[in-house]
Amino acid sequence: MVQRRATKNTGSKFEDHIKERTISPVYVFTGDQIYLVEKAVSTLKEKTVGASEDINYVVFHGDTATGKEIADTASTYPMFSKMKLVVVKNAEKLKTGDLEILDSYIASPSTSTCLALVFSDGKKPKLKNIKSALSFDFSLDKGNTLSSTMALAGSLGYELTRRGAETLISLVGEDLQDIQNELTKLSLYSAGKKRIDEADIKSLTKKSNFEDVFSLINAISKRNKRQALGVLTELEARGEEPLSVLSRISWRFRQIWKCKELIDKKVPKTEVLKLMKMSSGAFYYLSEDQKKFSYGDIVRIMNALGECDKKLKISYVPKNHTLTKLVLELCSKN
Amino acid sequence: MSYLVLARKWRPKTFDDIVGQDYITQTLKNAVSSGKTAHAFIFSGPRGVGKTSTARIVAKALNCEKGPTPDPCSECTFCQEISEGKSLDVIEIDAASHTGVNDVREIIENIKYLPTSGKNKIYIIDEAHMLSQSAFNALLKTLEEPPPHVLFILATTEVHKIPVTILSRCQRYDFKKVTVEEIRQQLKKITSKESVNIDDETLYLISQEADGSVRDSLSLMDQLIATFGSDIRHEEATSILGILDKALIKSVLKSVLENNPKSSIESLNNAIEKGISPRRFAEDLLKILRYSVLVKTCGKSVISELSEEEITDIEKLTSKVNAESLESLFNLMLEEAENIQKSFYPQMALELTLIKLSTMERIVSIEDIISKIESLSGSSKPGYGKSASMDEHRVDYKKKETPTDIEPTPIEKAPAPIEKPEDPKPPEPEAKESMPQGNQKVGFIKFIKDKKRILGTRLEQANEIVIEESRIRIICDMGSPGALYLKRQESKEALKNFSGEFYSRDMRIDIEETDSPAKKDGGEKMQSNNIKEQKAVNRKKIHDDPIVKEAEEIFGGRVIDIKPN
Repeated sequence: MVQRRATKNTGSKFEDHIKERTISPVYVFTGDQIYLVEKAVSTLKEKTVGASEDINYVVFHGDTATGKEIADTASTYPMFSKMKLVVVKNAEKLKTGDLEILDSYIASPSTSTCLALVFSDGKKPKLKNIKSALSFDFSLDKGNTLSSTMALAGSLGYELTRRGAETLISLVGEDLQDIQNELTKLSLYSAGKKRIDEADIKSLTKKSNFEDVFSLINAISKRNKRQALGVLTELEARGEEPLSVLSRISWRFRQIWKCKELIDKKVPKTEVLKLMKMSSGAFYYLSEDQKKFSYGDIVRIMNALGECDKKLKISYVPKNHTLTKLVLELCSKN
Repeated sequence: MSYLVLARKWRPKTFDDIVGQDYITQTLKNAVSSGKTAHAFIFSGPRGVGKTSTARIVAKALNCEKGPTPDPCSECTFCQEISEGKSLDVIEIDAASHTGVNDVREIIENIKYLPTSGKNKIYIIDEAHMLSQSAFNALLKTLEEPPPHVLFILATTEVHKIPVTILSRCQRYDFKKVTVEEIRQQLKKITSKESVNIDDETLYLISQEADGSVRDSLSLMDQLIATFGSDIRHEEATSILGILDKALIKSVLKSVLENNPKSSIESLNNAIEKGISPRRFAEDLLKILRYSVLVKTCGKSVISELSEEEITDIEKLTSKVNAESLESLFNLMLEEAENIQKSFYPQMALELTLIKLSTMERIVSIEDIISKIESLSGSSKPGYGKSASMDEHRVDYKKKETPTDIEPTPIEKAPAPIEKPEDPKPPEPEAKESMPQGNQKVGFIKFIKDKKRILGTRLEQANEIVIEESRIRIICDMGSPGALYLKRQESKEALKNFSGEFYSRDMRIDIEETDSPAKKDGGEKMQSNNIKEQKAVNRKKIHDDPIVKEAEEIFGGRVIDIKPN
């Protein structure tokens, strides 16, 4: 029977649910943490058809599948098994007509099939009968990333200190899938080591594309040429493309500009967050950054960025020299 | 059998052969030995750093007869087939020429089949960033849940072009540029095994030229071996590769910093005679100027591509020049390098650039001037002060032209000008009466500089600034860049606005041009009784100056007369 509950559970409750309750015929998974969603799908697979490859495990993708195809597959009986698992990834890409067909299926699902609809766009699924399904939201509260990271390291058999976890998050961001990838690499590198130090993390972990840009902008705001050139040469040593570095600097300054305008126009914070499409944590750093630059500074900087962009695209001289000039110019007082 | 180029002959066969990527190779070795190999890797980094080689070694490690092993034997059929690119189970795809979704669909169609003879089916997708968006989408679905016998290795030089959805499905390894020293060591190893005689300095030059790419360094070595055989001499190597001798470029930098255009042109001619193209010369000069700025601003730690010795050389060369001057030299060279590259007459353009660089006035920061004034005003004796650096000399020479800019009471406190014109013009009474204190003028220039740096700099370069009750007279050399800039309408308007703001009254701005640098301030401001006395003191100071003494010693001459610069 379908559990008629208007539930919106967090991802952490999924494990408890799967241990305590029977499998629901329809699940709706939402949220931006792919790692947690995939873990949930994997758990479902184990519970329904077993861990190995199985003919009763079918995966559809929203951009290529049709509602009829999915509903038909879900409505057929499993072969040589009690249950069948049908997973629809990127379900948000299904057309409205297809979603309507699935809506009808959700209203009266097959009891021998478990249908898992995975919505990855972070929006509320457009399903009329969503209340008939069991929903889990796999977004991670910002404060939980640290503890989740440490727990993931523990599951790989080593200890990651709080400081180490903070460093890792600062380098790779808050996506658990990325964190998991890096933790796996670290566990492989330090085979047998029970504790991972910060130096290992810094050497092996890929740097977030934007981490350096934040440091660079911080240095520019302080007119600290030494620090800014240090970051730039580090990027160069890593083989970063100057145009890519420039685009990231420009992206950040555009954000700073937008943020400054919105704050000066006294737009409420909630509205700013919505307009800027960012979390309040990220907004905090942005609002701090915007204080460091006057409108005059921003106009000057944007002009310099535009000029540099042009030069990087048409100039004959090595691009890293042009970027060096830009950084020196941005760090100068006027 | 035809000659096998060094890059292919010495292509790494095991993880230990990979140069300069220790963290990555160690992790991959551990992954293979522990059986925890990811189902998809992405190897990113600049060209020639070992991405494709590592991918092949991973394939060998997994499919080797003795494997999976972190040390593939490179002798078994599987290993040899992989090395020769013949293995049916290791499929190398050049994404640059297979960009479409149909190419990826073909892969997807085939992955369901088990490997023919090896243990795993490995897809190496080179230049993966070239795949189209739809190809990436098609690949993504397979990367999410590939069959257990399949491993994907994506290699790319432009990882930012790979969608994040793909990146998060792969274990990512960022390959770094190989350091100059590591390349040099590798070249040394290879040349000794190939019985090639080559000195360390040439190896070092080649390593630098390779820009972090081992493959490039081996290609350069190939070129030399093809030309000179097994005995390669430094001069020949530099000429055939078109590499500019570092000593030569350093001597040019020295000439530029010493404001010696003659010597810099001589060095250029020397390089041209050796077959160095002017464009290459300009590039190298630009590069060394950039290094100089970096070393001066950040210290030696930021430059990994230079040897300790080279950094020390740069430090010595630039020890007497401040960071601002180096920056302006770098900026000028950057602009001119562009023109040289485009020019039909690059040599001429380069000569002109060298003259510009060698005659360029050094920038003196306001902070330097203020600290100088402070240090001088602390001294009871008037005079020239310590001549600690070349720049300090320049400060003082500049100062002599506009002493009132920086010295509140030149006669009593500040060092007297080095010399003064023989017949100083009588001071203009109006100007003299209404002239504010020197420090006020310094403050004015600083204020303008804070508002608009370029305007402030141009103002600093003026021969004289006379501030009267309701007008400011700025005297510049006829046709000088400063005069041209200040005469612009927008500059005058900006000056008018800023001066109004600074003096809290409307000021008229007059830009006056003179035929020669203004030479009147010192004398004008000195009382006639003091002039002779002051002049004598200054002459003595100049004579006693260690640099002047050194110059006398070098040239075997003596100072006959002292004239303004």
